[in-house]
Amino acid sequence: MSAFKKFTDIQFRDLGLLKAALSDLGFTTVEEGNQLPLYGYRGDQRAERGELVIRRQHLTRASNDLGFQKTKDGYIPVVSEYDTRVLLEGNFLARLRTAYNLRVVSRVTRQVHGTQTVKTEGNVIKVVVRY
Amino acid sequence: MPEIRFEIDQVTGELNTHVKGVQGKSCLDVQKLVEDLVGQAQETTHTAEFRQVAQVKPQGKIRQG
Repeated sequence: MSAFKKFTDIQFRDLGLLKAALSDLGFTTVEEGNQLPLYGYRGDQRAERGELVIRRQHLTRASNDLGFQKTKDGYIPVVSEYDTRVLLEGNFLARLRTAYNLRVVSRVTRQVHGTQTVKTEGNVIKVVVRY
Repeated sequence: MPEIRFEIDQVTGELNTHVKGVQGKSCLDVQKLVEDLVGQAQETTHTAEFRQVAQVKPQGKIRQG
C-alpha cells in the first residue's frame, strides 16, 4: 500500500489555471467537488480527501487516485509515493508546476495587453513580456 | 518600454519574475498580479527603478475663482 503525501510547499492559487495545466499534460478527466474521497489502487478508500481528483483509472495501471486539497493558500497536491515516482517518469509535480506557470505567464500577458518573446536555455524557459 | 521577465526552471517548475522599466507603485501592481496566481514571492528585491517616483503631469488646468 502506497502512502499519500501532501505537498504543502506547492500551491496552485487559481483553480482554472490548475485544470488548464493538468489538461496541457494530458489529464483531461478530473472530478471536482467538496471533500472527495481518494482511493488506492485496490479500490480501498483512504483517509485523504481532495476538491479536485484524478481517478486512478486515468493514470497508470497501478496508480492511486491523485488529488488537490483546497487550503487558504491554494490547492495543494496529494499524491501517493508510488505515483510521485512513476507519473511522467517521476516528474509529475515539476511538469505540473511548469505547465501552471506557463499558464500564469499567458494570463499576465493578456492582462497587461503585452506581447511575448519565448526562448529556452538549457532547462530554463525564458519569457519576456513587453507592454 | 516596461517589461516583465519570467524564468521557469523545468527541473523544479519554479518561477522567477523580474519587472523592468516600471517605476514605483506600478511595479507592485504587476507583482501583485503575479502573486495572486502563484502566491507570495519567497524573496523580493527592489531595483533603483522601483525607488523612482513616477512623474505625473496634470491632465487639465484648474481655474480658480
